[in-house]
Amino acid sequence: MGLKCLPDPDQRIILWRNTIQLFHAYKNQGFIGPFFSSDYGNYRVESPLSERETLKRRIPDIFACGPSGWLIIELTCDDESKKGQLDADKNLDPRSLSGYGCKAYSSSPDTISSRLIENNDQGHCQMVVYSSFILKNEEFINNINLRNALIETKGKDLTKLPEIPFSLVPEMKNFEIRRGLVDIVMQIFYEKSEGKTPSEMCEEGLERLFDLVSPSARQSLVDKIQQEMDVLIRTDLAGYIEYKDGKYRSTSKLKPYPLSRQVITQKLQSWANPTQRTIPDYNPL
Amino acid sequence: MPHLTTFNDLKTLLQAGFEDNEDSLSHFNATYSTQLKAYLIESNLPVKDLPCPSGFGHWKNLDVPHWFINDGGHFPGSLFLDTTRERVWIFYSLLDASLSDVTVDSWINDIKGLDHCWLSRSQLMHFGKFEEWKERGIGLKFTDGLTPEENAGNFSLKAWYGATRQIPALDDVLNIAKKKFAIYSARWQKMSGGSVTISAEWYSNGKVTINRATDVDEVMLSISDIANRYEDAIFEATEIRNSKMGAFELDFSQTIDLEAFSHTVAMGRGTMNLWLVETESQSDFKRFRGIDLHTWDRVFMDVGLNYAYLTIPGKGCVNAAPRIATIQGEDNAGRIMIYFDGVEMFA
Repeated sequence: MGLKCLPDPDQRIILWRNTIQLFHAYKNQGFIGPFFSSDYGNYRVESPLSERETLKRRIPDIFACGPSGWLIIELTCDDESKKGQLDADKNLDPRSLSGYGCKAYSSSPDTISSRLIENNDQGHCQMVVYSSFILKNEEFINNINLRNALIETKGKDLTKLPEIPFSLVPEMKNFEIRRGLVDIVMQIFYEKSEGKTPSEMCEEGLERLFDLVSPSARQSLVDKIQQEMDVLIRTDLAGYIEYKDGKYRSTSKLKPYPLSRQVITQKLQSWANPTQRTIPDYNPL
Repeated sequence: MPHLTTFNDLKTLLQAGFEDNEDSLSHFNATYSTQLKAYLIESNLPVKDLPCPSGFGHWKNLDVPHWFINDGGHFPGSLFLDTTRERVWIFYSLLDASLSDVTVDSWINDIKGLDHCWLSRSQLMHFGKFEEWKERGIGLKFTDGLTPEENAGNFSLKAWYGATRQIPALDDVLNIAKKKFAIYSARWQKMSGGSVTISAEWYSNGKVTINRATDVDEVMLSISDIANRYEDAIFEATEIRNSKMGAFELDFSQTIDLEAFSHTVAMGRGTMNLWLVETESQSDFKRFRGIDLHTWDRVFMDVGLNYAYLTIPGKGCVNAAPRIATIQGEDNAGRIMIYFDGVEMFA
């Protein structure tokens, strides 16, 4: 094995992964997420709720229902305040939860921002989930069990939590998109594969988020996928994958042998992680 | 080979085989009986238009719903398929053992959407919960597949024991080995009135061999008990996969070499049949994403020294969890337990 220089990890996936996994528990790391331990196991991602009185639709990033209260989490990778959004979330009507099998609580939700870097979301609790769990403004959490569970999670390592099922989100940029496509591209090499359109790749990467993303955001992501795939078939996997009749298809160049697969693995790695090249990759000629 | 047209014919033939009754066997043009074998098959397919194993003709309906028999080709009337359950079918075979295993393996490999049912330790040991069932043997396997052959610490043990332990200290050895290595077979006897009514060996790939039996109904019921249990586990895991975003957690009894794992899966080599690209690396933790070559479904694996997290995105079949656990356990990770949110799955 050569020396490796690892790329910057994917900010958006880290944010989503480390937030979602706070709803779960893992034996090996002794990790018990605060929303799991306080019994907020019924959670939904990007699902619509109604505001009180105005009946306007709002789509919080995550909401969850617990035994004696409910919560809303808004996620952000940037350093802008989420105060306005979280203030508006406070005004959501708990009776609109009934469509998700939750009871209609009498109280407003506890509101939390989940971030990779700190900011002052005045009046709302804040979680920083980049590497170890940081909690700010916990005094704004009304549900005592939830507040205590969040406090107990302070300092816990989040870097080894498992991946989540979706690998693409609409705001992703080029190398993040490439890494989100790696396994989807590998499926193209199945001998009975009929190939994949950029739209199909988008749907597979978004997974359960697909129906929740607006058509314009979807199309923008499809365009970005096509750009990154074009690079792949012109450079790293030239000759192995072609774009024909609107689909990316494998040519007959890949043989079903371990060494052939290893070549594809290395080429996909260098496409998705251009800084993760091993020393033998560099050929002075 | 036997000439069968009804479900009752099938049961009569099987009963005659258990009794070694020459008159009954000859009634179906059978001159000898082979041990009955059954294979639990995990299916995502409708039965309609499902081909028979290559060379074995086609599936013909018996006179009861959901039961089929092979018609034409080699050995007509030697294979039976019970598709009563939606996700777990039972494939019965009267072929000789060597031909039977190859036939089933090829059939599964040829049809995308079929797989073995990969029995967990709890499922293999299920009968131990009932007083009338007695454990009579165990098979343990560790091939140390990530280590070069000259340094491999591979281990294999198959022990058969009767009602009286001939070597009292054997239990201690077996208990140590069971904690460390994967169980790939378990031999069970059902007792009634001091006599053996069923003697069967179950394997981790969902196969069972009936070595001896007195009642065909009892045999079929014991096989369908395990099929039902497996199907319940598949439904439960599918519901979790669809409604949650957590990962299945695989807990290993052996520490694995992460670099060797990465090297092996980069080539899609070895019995694990996983073709994965490493996407993140720490000294004691690596992230991978790629393909389960058994099905060509996508999988994400985050692997530590003695554990792994498995995420099955999209429409990938959750049968990958017990399959990867069983195969990786026997190959390189020893005893493996599967959990979700700290609760044992496929138990």
